[in-house]
Amino acid sequence: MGSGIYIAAAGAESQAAALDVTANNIANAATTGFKAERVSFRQALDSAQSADATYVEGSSKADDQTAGSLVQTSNPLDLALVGDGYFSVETDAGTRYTRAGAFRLDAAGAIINAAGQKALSNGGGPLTVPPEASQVSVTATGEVFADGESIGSLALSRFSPGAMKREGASLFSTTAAPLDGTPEVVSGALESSNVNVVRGMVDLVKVSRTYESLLRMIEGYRETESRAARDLGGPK
Amino acid sequence: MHRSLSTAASGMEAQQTKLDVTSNNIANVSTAGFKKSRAEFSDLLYQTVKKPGVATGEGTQSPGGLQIGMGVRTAATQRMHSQGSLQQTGNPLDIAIEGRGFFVIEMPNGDQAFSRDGALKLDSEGRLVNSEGFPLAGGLTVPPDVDSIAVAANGTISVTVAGDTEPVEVGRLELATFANPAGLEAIGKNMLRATAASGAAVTAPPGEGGAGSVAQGTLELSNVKVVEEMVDLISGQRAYEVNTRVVRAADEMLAQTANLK
Repeated sequence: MGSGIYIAAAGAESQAAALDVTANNIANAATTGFKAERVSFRQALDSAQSADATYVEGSSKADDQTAGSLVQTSNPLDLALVGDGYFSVETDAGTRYTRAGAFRLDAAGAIINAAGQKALSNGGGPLTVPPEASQVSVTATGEVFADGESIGSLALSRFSPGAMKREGASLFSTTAAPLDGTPEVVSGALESSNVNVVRGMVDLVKVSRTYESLLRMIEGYRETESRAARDLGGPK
Repeated sequence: MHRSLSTAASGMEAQQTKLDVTSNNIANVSTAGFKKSRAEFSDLLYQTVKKPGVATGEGTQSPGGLQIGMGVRTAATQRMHSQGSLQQTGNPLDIAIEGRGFFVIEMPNGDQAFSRDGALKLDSEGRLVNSEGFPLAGGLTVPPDVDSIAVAANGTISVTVAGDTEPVEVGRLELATFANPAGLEAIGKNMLRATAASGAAVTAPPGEGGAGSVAQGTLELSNVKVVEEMVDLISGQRAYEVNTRVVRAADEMLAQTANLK
């Protein structure tokens, strides 16, 4: 039996994975600091059958690292990063990195994110705004001022994008060492998701049409094989 | 493929929440002292098919893994405590707070509630009350036969009794501040309640302790900006629509698979 039908099936499976990724991008079109994902495919050589027949498999997923557009909110603790890099937050599982800069204060005045995790300063501890402070401001270098008094600087770091593992809740983890340089902080703005909805729709059409033609291929192979069985196999 | 169906459903749910929050903001566009909210989203867990950075040969590693996300969820709705614009009304009992403070209101059950709505009134006993008739904490009372009421920027209330020329001080407003005002719980009727997230109320008279000053004859309007809300409405609606297209694409692909001949 020819291997073509399996090649088509592997292709259809890859397209299904591509649909999942596109669906996740579109679902996160309004998630602050979200970076769109792209699946790349690679050939897996089928040496057992013949050198020309290759299967496809989803191999690696590159993140689209382009910056999302900045949305002005005029809330001083809404922070956007210009240039690649991450804020650090403290979680139960250790330090995690995020570009979602919608920070706020907790009851004790510590700077936290939407999930209540504390933002880390470059000294490693949390940043606490004194309760009587009436104004908080953050400079481009990430230094936080409460009523004009510096209370520390936010930890900002850069990593090679390939080394970042997605953890959900807009967090990333990594075991890689940070790179040199820091991103610039813009206070009073949020980085919106960089998902391009138009591109998402095009991907959607492309995926479903490719999937459809791969299914037609499966039907074609089946048809060929059943005809071969009918015409050649049975007694004349 | 079943993943993409539930992923798109989570996207639709998130956009629905955004629409709900936006519509509440728009509905309260002319509510005095109303603070707008916004929905914040975060991505769900990822299924790691291939870990990033696995070795692909001696000294080489894959530049990125294969992780497939499961969609989005609403992480929080945050109330934005930016100052609303101030409107001159000329009514002596319309008092706006310029700053971070809140009026402290005594609820009928003895609890304290907090409000930015400064459309105060007098009840039959001469107490300063809000639109619900709940009195301000501190028991501020105005005598029945007053000609005029003056509220200074520092919250001092003085009244001029009919026939007198000298104003008499009857008390001073108290304002509450919180470490994290976004953590207050809205209980409707323009009132908020302290929670563990907001921290305890710190009361101080206007002009002291960062509570801000008060302005008589002025109302603080809602801080909702209609243009922003309209943009949110449109983007939320379109994002919802695109998610429904994902459902349709996944459904069509499933149907084609099921109907393979």
